[in-house]
Amino acid sequence: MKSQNMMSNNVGEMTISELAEGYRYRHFSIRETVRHYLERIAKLDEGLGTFITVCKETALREAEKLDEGLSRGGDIGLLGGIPLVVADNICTRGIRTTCASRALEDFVPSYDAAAVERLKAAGALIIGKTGLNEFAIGASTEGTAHQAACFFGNLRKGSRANGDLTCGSAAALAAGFAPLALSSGTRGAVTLSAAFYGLVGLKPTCGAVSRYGLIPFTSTLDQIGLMARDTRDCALAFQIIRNNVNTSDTEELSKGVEGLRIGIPKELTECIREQNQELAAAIHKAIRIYERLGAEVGEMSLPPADGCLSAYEIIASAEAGSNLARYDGMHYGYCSDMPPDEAEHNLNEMIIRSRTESFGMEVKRCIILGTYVLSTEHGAACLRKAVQVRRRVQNAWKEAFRHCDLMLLPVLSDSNGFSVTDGYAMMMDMAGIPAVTVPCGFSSSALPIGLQLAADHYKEGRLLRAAYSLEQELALTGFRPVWKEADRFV
Amino acid sequence: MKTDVNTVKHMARLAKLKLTDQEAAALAEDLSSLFAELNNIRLDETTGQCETTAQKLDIAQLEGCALRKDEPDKFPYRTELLQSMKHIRDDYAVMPRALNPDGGWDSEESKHDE
Repeated sequence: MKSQNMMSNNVGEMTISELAEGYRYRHFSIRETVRHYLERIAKLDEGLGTFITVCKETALREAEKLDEGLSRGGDIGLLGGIPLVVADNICTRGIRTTCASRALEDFVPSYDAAAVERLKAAGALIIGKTGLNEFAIGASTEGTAHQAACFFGNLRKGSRANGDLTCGSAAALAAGFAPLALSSGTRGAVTLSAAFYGLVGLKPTCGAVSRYGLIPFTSTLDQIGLMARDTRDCALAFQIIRNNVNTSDTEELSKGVEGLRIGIPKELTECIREQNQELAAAIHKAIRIYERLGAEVGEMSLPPADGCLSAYEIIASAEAGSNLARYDGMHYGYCSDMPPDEAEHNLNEMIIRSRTESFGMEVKRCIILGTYVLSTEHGAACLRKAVQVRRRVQNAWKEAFRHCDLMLLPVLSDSNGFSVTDGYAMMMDMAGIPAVTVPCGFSSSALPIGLQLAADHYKEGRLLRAAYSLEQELALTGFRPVWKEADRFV
Repeated sequence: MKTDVNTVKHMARLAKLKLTDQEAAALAEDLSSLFAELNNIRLDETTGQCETTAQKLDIAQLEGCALRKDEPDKFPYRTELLQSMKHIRDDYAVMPRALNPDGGWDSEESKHDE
C-alpha cells in the first residue's frame, strides 16, 4: 500500500483499467479505494446533491471481501472492486430505490435489476444511488421530490440545463465519485448528459440490455445505458451487461476505422457552423482524424427533427400514465396519512390524496396528458400520429444506414445547454438505435465539447471502435473533467 | 385543438389527481401548444407509415449474435421473502384481507381468517 498519497490525489480521476491495475499490483487495496471515494462524496456531495443514497457500509464490507479474495489469489472478476453508481430508478437489492419520488421514498427492492446483477457478478461495488428527475420524467431536475437533485446544474458553471434524467450519474462521475455509472434514458439522456460533463456515454440498441428491474416510465423507449471516463471502460462494462454474450467489445476496439463509411448530416453541420464556431472546429477536427485513419467521410441528409418532441411527449405520456397508475397508495407507493375512519368510507379520496401528495408537478402533467391521450378521441388521433412520426424517424435512420456505417453529429450545439441537436439525440432513442458520446475538445471557457456517433441496430461494437480511435488520436483523456473544490461548483 | 381548464380537470379526476385552478390553467395552455405543434405536422408525411409496433428490427441484423435463451429464471429470493412475511400457510404468504364482503375495511381480528 505504498502510494497512499498519490491515490488520495487522483483517485477521482482514475479509469477502471487504472484501478484494476492498481489492485492487481497491490499499489492500493480495494477497501482503501472505496474509502477514498466515500470520503470524497462526504466532503463534496453536500453542495452537489448527486446522491440520493450512499451505500457506505455495504460498499466497505464488499470491498473487504474482495480484498481477501485478491490476497488469496482468487479471481475477483473483470470489474473486481470497481465502484459503481446506479441511477435511482434501477432496482438494487436491499438498497433503497426511490425514483426521486415521494411515491417510492421507502421502497427497498428484494431483487437486483438484470444489468446490476451482471455488474455485481463481475465484481463491481455499488457505492450509491444517484438522483434523477422524478420517475425520469422531464427535461430538468426542477420540481423533483428530492430537492438535492436540483443542484446538479452547479457542477457546470453557468449552465441552463443539465442533461435530462441521468444528470445525477453523470455529475457523480464528473465529480470523481466513481469511475462507472449505470443509468437510463428515453430521449438522448445518456448521451446528452455524458457530453455535458465530458464523459463517454453509451446508449445501446433498444433490447440489447435487459430492462428487467428498471422501473418503467415509457415502456417502448426506456433503455439502460452506461457512462464512464473513457471508451475502453464503457466497452468493458457493456460487454458484461449486454444480452449478446458471444462478442468481445474490448477486443474489437483496436481494429480501427479503416474502410468505415461515416455520414455527416449536412443540415446540422450548416446549422452548427452558423451558431457555434468552436463546436464546428472541434467536429471538423474529428472528421479530419477519421479521414486520416482511413474512414470514408461524406455528407448525408437526415429529415428534420420537427414534430419529434411532440410525438415523444404524446407516446411517453400515454405509457407513463399507464405505468404510474399502480402508485395509488394501496398497491404500491406512498399512502396519504388519512384518519382511518375517513379512509374507511372514502377509498377513492384516499387514493387521490396519496397520488396528489406523492407526485411532483412534472409527473402530474405527464399523467394528465397520458390520460387525455388514452381516453379521448382527439388524444387517440394524436397518439396515432405520434406513432407514425416515430415510424418515419425509424425509417429515415434505416435508410441512412444503407449508405453509411456510422453517423457523426454534435451532441449539444450550444455548449451551455440544449439546442437544435437535442432533437437528434431524441430521434436516436425513438429509432431504438445505439449511440455513443465521446469528448472531442473544450470550449474557450473550458467546457467539454462532445460528439456523438450513431449506428444501425446492434452495431455497438462498430460505434465503440470509432469512438476509441478518435479518443486515442485526440488524447484528451489526460484532461479529465474532474472538479476538485466544492466552491468551484457555485 | 384548444384544451380548456375543464377538460384538464376532468382528466385529473380520471387520473385520480387533484389540481389547483392555477395548475389546471397552466396545464391547459401547455397541452394546447403541444397539440398545436403535433397538428402542424403534415399528414402526407406520415400517411402510409406502419404504426403498430414500437421497434421494427430486421432479423438479419441479429445474424451472428447469439442471444441468451429466453427461459424463465427461478425467483431466487423466495425463501427470504417468505421469511419476512408475518403469516405463511403451505409455503405461501397469506396477505391481509383489506375489504370485508360489505365493502368496508376489515377489522384487525378477522384480517387473516381467509
